Amino acid sequence: MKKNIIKFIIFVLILIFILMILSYIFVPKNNSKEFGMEEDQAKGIFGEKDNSIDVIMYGDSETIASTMPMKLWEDYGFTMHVCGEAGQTLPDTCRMVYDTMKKQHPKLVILESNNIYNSVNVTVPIARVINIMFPITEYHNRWKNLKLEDFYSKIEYNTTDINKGYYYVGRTDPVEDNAYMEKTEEIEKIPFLNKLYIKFLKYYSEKKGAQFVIVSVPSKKNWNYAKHNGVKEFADKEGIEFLDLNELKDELNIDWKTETGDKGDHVNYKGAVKVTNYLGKWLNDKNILENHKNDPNYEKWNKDLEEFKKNVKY
Amino acid sequence: MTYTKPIFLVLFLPLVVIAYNLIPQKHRWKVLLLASYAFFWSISGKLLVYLLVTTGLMYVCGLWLNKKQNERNEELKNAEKAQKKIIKQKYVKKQRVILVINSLILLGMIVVLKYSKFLGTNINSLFQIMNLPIQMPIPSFIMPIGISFYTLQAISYIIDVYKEKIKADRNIGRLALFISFFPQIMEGPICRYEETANSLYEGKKTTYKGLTFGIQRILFGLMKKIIIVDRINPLILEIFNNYSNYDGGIMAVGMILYTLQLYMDFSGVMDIVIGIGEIFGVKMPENFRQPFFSKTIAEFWTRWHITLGAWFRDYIYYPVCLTDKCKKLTSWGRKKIGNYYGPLLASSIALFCVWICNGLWHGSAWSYIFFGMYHFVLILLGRIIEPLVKKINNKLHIDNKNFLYIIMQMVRTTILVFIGELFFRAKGLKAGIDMFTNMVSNFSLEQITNGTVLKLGVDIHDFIIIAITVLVIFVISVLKERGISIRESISKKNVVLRWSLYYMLIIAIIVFGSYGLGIVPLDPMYANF
Repeated sequence: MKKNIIKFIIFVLILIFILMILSYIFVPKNNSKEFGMEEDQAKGIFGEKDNSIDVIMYGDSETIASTMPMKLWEDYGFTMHVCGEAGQTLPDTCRMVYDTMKKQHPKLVILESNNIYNSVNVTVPIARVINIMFPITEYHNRWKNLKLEDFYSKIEYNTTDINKGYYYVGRTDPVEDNAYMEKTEEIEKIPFLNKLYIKFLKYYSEKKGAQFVIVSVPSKKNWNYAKHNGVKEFADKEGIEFLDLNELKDELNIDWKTETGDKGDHVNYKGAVKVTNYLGKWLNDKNILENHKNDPNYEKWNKDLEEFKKNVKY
Repeated sequence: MTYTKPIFLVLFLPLVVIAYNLIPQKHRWKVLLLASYAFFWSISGKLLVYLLVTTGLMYVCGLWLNKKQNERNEELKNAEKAQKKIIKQKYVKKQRVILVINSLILLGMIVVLKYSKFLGTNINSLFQIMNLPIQMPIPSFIMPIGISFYTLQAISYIIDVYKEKIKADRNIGRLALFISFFPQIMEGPICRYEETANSLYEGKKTTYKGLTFGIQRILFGLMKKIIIVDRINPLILEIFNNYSNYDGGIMAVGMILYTLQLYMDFSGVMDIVIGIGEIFGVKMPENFRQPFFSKTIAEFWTRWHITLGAWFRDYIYYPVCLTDKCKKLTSWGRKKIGNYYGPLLASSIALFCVWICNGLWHGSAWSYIFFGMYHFVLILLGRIIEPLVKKINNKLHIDNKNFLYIIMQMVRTTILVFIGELFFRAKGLKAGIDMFTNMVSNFSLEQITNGTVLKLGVDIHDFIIIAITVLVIFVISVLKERGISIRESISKKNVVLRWSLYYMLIIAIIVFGSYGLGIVPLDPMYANF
């Protein structure tokens, strides 16, 4: 019995060693798509200067389609990066927060609310831990594109994203009417595990010196008043600020006939301009963010803005 | 939760194995039963009640049959020779009533849950054709997981008690575990009571050999599932959903790859299931025996989904053949058309019943009935022309043990299987006919040679890795066909070679597996039947 246990431990240790070597080979050596990085727009933050980002926004595809950090830079000189990813679950958010805060110490961490109702099973966090321990499990599909350099190059994350994580949606695919968010007393319960993830995000953000807030960006398809009530109830209980842009129909005035690219699922760039304008005022009113526009350390942001405006017209 | 999901493999199964081994032997069956009900609940929730009703019915009917058999034996003890036959007949009738009650309830449940929509739709279509202004409401039910599998196990148990092959079980716990054991509940194998009930209940401690052999088998199954099944899925979905966009060459690719996918999926899950059984010290029956080495369609069905074929053989084919009417037909046939074709008359009736049931068992749609009838016709034709083929071979001096001749038979059988699977997978019988017609009348290699096939979700790298994995599985199949036990042979090799092979298998699954961001794994295919 004892002999078998020792054999088993040796077997596992050798396996771990092999996986570590393979992980070194398979992990992208740069944070750009060309080097095999998944969700490279969000990961553009890894190429930004240390401690240069004041606001980071996390969440799923709602996040990336609705907020234009470069417009905030243009209007207020705030440095924001969207670190949302399509289908980002709360365990993914936790991992992203952990990774991004290694080099950044933002003043504000924003969680977009849509993934709060995305129920995840218990194996997702286990899978994420395994991904962190053995990146081969995350980047294994790179076997198709491995180059000789992957076997000896050092990891160097120096690529930035000129959109700062924003994903441009140019098309229009309308919804027939603008009606949604009918008021109700109904409360949609947040899954138990998801509550724990949000509590962790708040704890970790505050530990790193950032204020943690929840923002819900407009989505006619995905959001309703019962969800609003659920997040509001939880946020009030936990002392988290909650801003629901879906509730502010008159102030934002999103026209779902012209300002969505996919029948009310996400806003298109026209809707994103309205969302960003509102967020800009809201952030400015907080009086916690600096205007870096004339800071020579942020010169690259002005160049990025010029490039951004060539691609995104508003 | 399914057998290939991380929640099952990383969390559920290890927890059950640990709990099972920590608990004293006499209580281990309770861990397995609890785990089985938890597994069932995680997929079908409150529909667990159907499984409980089935278990209760088996228990009650089994004991009821046993009581009648005991009463008969008592009466026979004191009876005179002349009375014995009358007593036996009296009790046969009584037992038949119990058997019919049990079967009606069990089959009634499956008919209502699985076939009422199909029956209702077809009856309404019939009313329409007859211009009758009646339309039946069409009910739709959610089926509990594995109903097609555990119902067959329940029926086989009761028939075996009726035939006195086994004694009715007085322990409802053992019976409940036999019917619900979590690795087999989704896709079988369809076990017989005498095969697994006692070893499940026995609660043998997990041995080092059982654990290592079990894990090896699970890894082998995962390799099939993750490297092949999930990787080719986008291509198969595209071809079968949008077949009108493609030429006959692509249809043929879809047909071949779907058959490969189905085999790898089902046999891969069986590897996982049997591997789990080995960990708990339970030897479960094999469901596959290198089916693509079959020389005839009849042989194919003794190598593919073996436990289903054996069930139909024992509980439909033989009982139908042995009815008085079939026996009379056989006697009449022998006199009229000889000793070969005479018995074929009755056996073809039994065969027809088997293949109607086989088709319907797979699903409630005309395409499945067609699938059953397709194999019925092929098997029957095979039997009818067998003497003729022998004669021709003799005349032409063809040795039927010649290697090339055998290969030709295998290729022919495989092509026939491919065609059957095309109809099986197509979205309805009409789509199947359209795809087959397109494949034959519009056959062209253009969309293969111009690279269209590589733009349908599976690129050249994927094809290469699939081909290598299939080659490895083929070599293993050849060795198994020659009676070589691969795992036993490997276990006798030195540790360096042995561990190297294990590492290669694990690394192949991790590196070449189709999982991660943007990949939706395919749920076990046979779980839907």
